[in-house]
Amino acid sequence: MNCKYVLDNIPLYILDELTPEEIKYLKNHLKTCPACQAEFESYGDVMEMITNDSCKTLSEVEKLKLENSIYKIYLSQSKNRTSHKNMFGYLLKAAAVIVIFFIGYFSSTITADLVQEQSRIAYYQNKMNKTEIYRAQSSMLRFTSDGLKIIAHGKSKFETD
Amino acid sequence: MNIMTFNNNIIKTLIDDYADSLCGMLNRIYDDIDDAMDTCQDAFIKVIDKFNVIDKNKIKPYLFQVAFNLALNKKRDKKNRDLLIKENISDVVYNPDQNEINQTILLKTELEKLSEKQNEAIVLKFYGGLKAKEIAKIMDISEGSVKTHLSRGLQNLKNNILNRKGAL
Repeated sequence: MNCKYVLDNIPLYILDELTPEEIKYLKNHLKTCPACQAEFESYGDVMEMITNDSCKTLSEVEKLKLENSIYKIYLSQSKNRTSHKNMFGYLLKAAAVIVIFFIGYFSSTITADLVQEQSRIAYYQNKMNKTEIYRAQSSMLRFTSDGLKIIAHGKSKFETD
Repeated sequence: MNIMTFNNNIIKTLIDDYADSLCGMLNRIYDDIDDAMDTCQDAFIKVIDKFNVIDKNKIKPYLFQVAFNLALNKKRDKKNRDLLIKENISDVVYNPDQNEINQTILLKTELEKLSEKQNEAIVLKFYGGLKAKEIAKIMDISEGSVKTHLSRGLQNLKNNILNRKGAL
């Protein structure tokens, strides 16, 4: 039996922090070793003092007071949390409005570009049509001049040309 | 059952189960029941806030961890503020005629003479009723170190108290 081991472990035995095997070993040693037993008993005073000091309990009034104050604080915190949630809601709505605004802005820009492009296409188409009309008109003119030639020089002359 | 009734039940259950030991521990740390009750209240509120996410078997260690950290921070702040009027613990006189009051004073002074870690481990063990494993988590040290602090702390406390009593 090792007295040093037992003496070192008496506080842990008192504090119930030993394994069942260690407790068994310690108990057996204490039965046979008066010096270690005396050391074990010397903890009686201090343990009594600590137990008396630590077993003080709160009165029912103190407990009720504590419960009420905790409940009040908890409720006020819950309200704050709710107001935070509302604020989040407002922020979310504001963000949605901003997003919708930008979507509208960019989509209108895109539409405007498309309209511009279409009008440009229409302009060129118009211009091309005009050219074709001009060409047609020119051919008409040519035809008219040919007609004039026929009229002026006679059919035979025109045919020989 | 609405949410308010549910929370009120949690508060009541927590107070019934842990308020005594928690306030006892905090009172030993502060040596002031008002400060102890304030911190007790703050710790309960923090636990109730996280009640739904904490493992129900770990509520006690969590509650004591929160309370212990709050108490140490508050005590540190208070210590810095009251540095000039710091109590000289050696001046406390043990008078055997006023037994109960003096037992508490003697215990308090001798606990304060222990090293910081030994004091914390002893307070968490006796007043919080926690196991070494739980204390290790709260103090952020190994279980073996907690056992060493507990063992040496209790030995020193016993020797110091016996010496004080023997000297009278």
